[in-house]
Amino acid sequence: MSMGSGSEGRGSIFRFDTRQIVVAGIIGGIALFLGFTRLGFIPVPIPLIGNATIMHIPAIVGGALEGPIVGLLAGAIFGIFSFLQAENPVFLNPVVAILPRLLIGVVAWAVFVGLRRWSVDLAAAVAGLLGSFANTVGVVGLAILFGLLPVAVIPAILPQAIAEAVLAAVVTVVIVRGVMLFRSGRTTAPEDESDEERRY
Amino acid sequence: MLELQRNVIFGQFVETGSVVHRMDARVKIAATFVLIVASFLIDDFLGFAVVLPLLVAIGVVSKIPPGYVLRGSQIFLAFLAFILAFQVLFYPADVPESSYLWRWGILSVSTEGLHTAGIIALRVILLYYVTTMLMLTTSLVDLTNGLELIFGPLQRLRIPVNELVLVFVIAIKFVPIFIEEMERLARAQTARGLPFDEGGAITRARRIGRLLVPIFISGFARADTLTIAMNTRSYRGGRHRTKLRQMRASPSDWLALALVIAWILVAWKV
Repeated sequence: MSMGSGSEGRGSIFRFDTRQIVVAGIIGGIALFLGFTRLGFIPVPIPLIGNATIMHIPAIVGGALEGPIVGLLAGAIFGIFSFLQAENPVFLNPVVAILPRLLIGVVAWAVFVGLRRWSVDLAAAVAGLLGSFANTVGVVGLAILFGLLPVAVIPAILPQAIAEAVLAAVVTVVIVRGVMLFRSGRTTAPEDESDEERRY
Repeated sequence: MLELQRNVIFGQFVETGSVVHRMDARVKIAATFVLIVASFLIDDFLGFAVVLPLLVAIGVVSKIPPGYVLRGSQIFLAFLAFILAFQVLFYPADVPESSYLWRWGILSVSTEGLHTAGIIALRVILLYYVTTMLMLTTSLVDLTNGLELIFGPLQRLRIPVNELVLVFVIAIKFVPIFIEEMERLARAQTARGLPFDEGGAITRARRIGRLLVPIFISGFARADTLTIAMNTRSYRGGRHRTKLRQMRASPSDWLALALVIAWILVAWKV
């Protein structure tokens, strides 16, 4: 291949800059890390699903802080993991495992951007809540569509879905705060009230 | 105390210089893909029994110690057993009275339930085994080049293949780094008197939240460093890049791939 032939690869459907590639990779790495160490699963004694997951939280944080493309890619990595290590028979179907996960970060991004001018904490909490619901609704919806789960399963899953969403909301707020605080470079507590806004 | 590093072998590459290691990465990826497809096509015990010798052969030829793979799969296998127990006990479908072995309220053990759980277990283990073996026998550089070449034609559809492959490679590469970091964090917090393996579900969940914040912060910090490092070296995706090492598949590589495909066809059809 000679330099400057010019045509190949120019104008891809979506373009990333280097930073988006790196951040999406690292956020996806956190999702994989939670998966492989099983730290991302919190055992809940509910049949059919069995585990509340926090593996979707990286996709939520990625979407909220870095935009829809990073959120989408982090979700894709989470989806591919749950397909390749599908201990739950539902995820042996690649469409159910991967497709809904792409939406998590996109939903989180839209919510976060929409709400952040009122309050960053509120935006992060709602992004966590709705990102988590996007995951549950997408997976369960597609699983029912493919006949992998009976419709009657919905009331049984509801408590777990709520637990996951609340957990995601709480953890997302803490992480978004932490990362923004770190990025602001501040190492001491704010000195007076008026400084409060600049903390983020 | 948490000892994750020894128990998670994902993303690690073990060089033994075996025939499998020296194979063309594209051929290995293709063979892995064939085996992944196989895990869905095969739906009886006989089929899996036919595949088993092939998997054992791959394991033996690769010269990767079986004990190493087993120790690294403990967490995975324990979880699998846990999930499958649920699968059997809450087997949802209608089962004829005669096939119940044990029943108590909504809990039951039926031959159908056991059969389904057995097939799922074999499927999941096959998926896990082939992807793990691919990782163990293929260096990350080869894996990247192989994936880029295989999906290269998609670039004509204006899909940024090189960038997407790089995202996945970075993700895989960072798993061991985060595992190490996590262990250090856990030790640091234990040293300051925070208990680690105690408490109920909620306490444990909060503890994980406490670990996630520093993991994310260090992740973003590393992302900044890596971005700067790549930009200073003028990274611009795969465009107009040439490779120092060209990949070449030897006839024996193709032969191995053909063997895998033929074997899978036999297993599927029996």
